[in-house]
Amino acid sequence: MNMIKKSALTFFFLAGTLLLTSCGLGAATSSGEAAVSAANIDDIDLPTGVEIDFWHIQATVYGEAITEMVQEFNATNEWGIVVNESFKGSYQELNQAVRASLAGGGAPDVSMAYENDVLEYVANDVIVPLDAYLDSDQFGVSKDDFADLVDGVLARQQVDAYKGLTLSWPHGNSSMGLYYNADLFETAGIDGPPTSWDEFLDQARQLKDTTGLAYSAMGPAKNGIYYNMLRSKGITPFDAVAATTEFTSPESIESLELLAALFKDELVYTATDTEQEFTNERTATEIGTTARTSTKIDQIGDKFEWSVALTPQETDEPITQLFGGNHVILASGEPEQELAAWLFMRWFADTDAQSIYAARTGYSPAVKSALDTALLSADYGENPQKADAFKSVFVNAQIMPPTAAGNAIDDMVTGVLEEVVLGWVTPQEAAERMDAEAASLLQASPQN
Amino acid sequence: MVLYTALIAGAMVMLFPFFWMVSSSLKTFQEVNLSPPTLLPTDPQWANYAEAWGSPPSGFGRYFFNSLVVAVVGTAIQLFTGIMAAYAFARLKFRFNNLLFMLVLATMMIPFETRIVPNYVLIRQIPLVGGNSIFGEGGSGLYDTYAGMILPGVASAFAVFLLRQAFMAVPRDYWDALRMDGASHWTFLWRVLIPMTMPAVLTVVLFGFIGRWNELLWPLIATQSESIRPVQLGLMLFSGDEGSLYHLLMAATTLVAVPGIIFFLFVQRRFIEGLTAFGVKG
Repeated sequence: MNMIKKSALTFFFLAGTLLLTSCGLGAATSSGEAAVSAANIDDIDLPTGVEIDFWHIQATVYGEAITEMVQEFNATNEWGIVVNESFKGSYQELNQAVRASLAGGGAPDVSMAYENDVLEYVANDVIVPLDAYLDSDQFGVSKDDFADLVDGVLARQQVDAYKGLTLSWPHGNSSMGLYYNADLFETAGIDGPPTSWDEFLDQARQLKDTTGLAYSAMGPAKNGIYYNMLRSKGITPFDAVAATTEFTSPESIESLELLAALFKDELVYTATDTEQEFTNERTATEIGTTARTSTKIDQIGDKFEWSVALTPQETDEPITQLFGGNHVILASGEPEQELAAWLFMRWFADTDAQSIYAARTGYSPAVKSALDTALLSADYGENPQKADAFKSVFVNAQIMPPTAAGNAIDDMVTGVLEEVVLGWVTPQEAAERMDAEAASLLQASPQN
Repeated sequence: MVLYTALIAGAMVMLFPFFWMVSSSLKTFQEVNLSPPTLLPTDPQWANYAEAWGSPPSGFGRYFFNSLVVAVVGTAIQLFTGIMAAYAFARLKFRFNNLLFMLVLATMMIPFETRIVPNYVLIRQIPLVGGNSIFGEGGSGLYDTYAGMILPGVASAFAVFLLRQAFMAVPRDYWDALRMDGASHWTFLWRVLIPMTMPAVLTVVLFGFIGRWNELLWPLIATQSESIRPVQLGLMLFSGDEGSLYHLLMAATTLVAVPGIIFFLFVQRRFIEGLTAFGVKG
C-alpha cells in the first residue's frame, strides 16, 4: 500500500512539474509594460555590440538577400549591433516557433509577421509598439521618410485593428498583378490587359475563339482573386469590427457569377502551379503575386513578350492585394535590446537596404526613393517587367482589413468558391453561406 | 509470368519518383519548369550538384555531419531506452505491467504538434544547463544544441512495442535454462534475447534513423544557428514562400536520400523479417 502511495505521489509530482513548466510563460514582458515615450528612448545609452535575433521566412534568393543585408548592417551600423538571422520555415512554422519561444523563453527580438499574427501577439501582450521610436529625436523617422513609404505599405503598419498604434515596420512586399502574354494577345487581336471584369470575360472568350487556349489558370485557393474582384468594385469583403460581410452584395454575386461563367465555359481552369501554365504558353494571363516577376524573367527568357499590369478596376481608386509580412519587435523587457531591434528594422526599411532587396528579389521596395538608387534603377532598366510591377501594380496595393479570424475565413471562402466553380452551388447560395459562416467566425474572433 | 510482370510494374511505379528526382536534378532552371516536362535532361547539368552542395552558408557537408550526429546518437539512445523498457514489460513481473504498457502505447496517439511547446519549454528551461539556474532561468538550456534536437524523441512507444513483442516471442525455456546456470537478467538480455531478436532491433534502428534523418519541424524550432541544422533544413533553403529552385532542390534531395537508401539496402532483409515476424503478433 505504501508503495502505491509513494508511486502515486511521485507520479503527481512529476505530472504537476511538467504542467507548471509547460504552462508558465517565459520572460516575455507585456507591451503595456514595455511602452515608453520618445524621450525615454532618446535617453537610452546604447552600448556597443548589442546582439539581437531576427527570425524570418525567406529562403532561395530571398534568403540569400537577407543574409547579405544582415552582413551589411552588422558591418556598417554605428552602434556595433550584431544581428543573428535565422530562417524559420513558412509563416505557419515561424508562428509555431514564436509561440513556443514565448512560452519557453528565447523569443526573437525581431520577427516577420502577418497582421493576423500581430493581432495574436497583441492578444498575448508581447508586441512592442513602435510609436515612441518613430517619434524619437535621435532614433526616429523624419516626415520625409514617412512620405517616402509607399501608401499601402505605410497603411498596413497602422491598421485600424491596432487601435491607433504602429505595431510593425516594412519588410519589402509584393502585390497581386495580372501577367499577360503580349504575343498571344496580339494573335487574338486583343489590344492590352483588361480594364474591367466584363472586358476580362470578353477577352477570355475572344482568346478562346481565336487561339483555342484558356485565358487564365487559377490556383486551388481562389479567395485572393475573389477579394480582389470585390475590392476593385469598391467593396471591402468584410468588416472585422462590426462582424459583417459584403458577400451577399450585388457586386459579390456579380463576381461569383463571373467566376462560375469563366470555369463553365472553360475559359479558365484550376492548376496547382499557375505560373507553369503561363510561362509554358498554355494560358494568356495569370493573376498572381508580383514577387514572381523575377523568376518569370528567368523562365520565359525571350520565348515571348510579356508584362504585368493591374487587375481590372471599376472605380476611380485602383486597388489590389498587398502580400507579404512585416517586421515586429517582440518584447524582451530590455530597452537596449528593443532599441537595437528598432534600429535594425528602421535600416531594413530604408532606401539602400530596400534597393538591395528589390534588386536581388522579386519584391518591390517599401520606399519610393529606392527607385532613384543606381542599383535599382539599373535593375529596373534591365528588367522592365519589375519596373511595371512596381509602378503599375504595387503602388496601388493595400492589405485586406486584418482580423484574427482571417485565416479561418480564407479557408472557408476557398472551399465555397471551389464549389461555385465546380457548379455545385449557385452564386446566391454560396454568397449566403459565406456571409453566415464569416459573420459567425468574426463574432468569435478575439478582437470582438 | 503474370506475377513477374505485375512485380516489375509495381517496382517501376515505386522507382519512378527516384528516377524523376535524379532526372530533374540534372536539368536547368528553365527545363525543370517546362510543361509538358522532358523525361530526360537535354543537357545534363552535373554542376547542379556542386551548386546545391555549396549553396548554404555552412555547406551541405556540415548539414550531413549534423544529421549524422542527431540520427546516430538519437537512434542509439532510443534503442537503449526501448530495449530496457521492452524487457521490463516482456519479462519482469510487476504490478500494473499491462496498464503501464497501455499508457506507453497511448502516447503514440498524441500528435507531434501538441508536444512542440512542452518539449521546447523542457529543453529551454532545463536546470543547470546552458547557463540556466537551478530553476531553469537565465540561460538558453539545450536550445540550439545537438542534445536539444536529440533528447525529446529518445523514448519511443513504437520501439518499446516492437521490441516487447519480439522479446515475448522468445520461449521462456531459454531464461529458465540460463537461470539454472546463475545468469542475470542483464546477461540474458544481451547474450540471448538481443541476438535472437536482431531483425526487430534492426527495424527499430532503421525506423529511428530514418525518422531522425527526415525530421524537419523540431530541428527548425529547436535551433537558431544555421551551422547546427540538419540536412532537411538545408533542403528548405531551395524552396520558400516565393517559389522553389526545383533543379537545385532535386540535386540536394538526391544527395540527402543516398545515405538512407544505402542504409536500407544493408538491412532490408532483417528489416522485412522484423516487421513480419514481430510487428503483428500479440
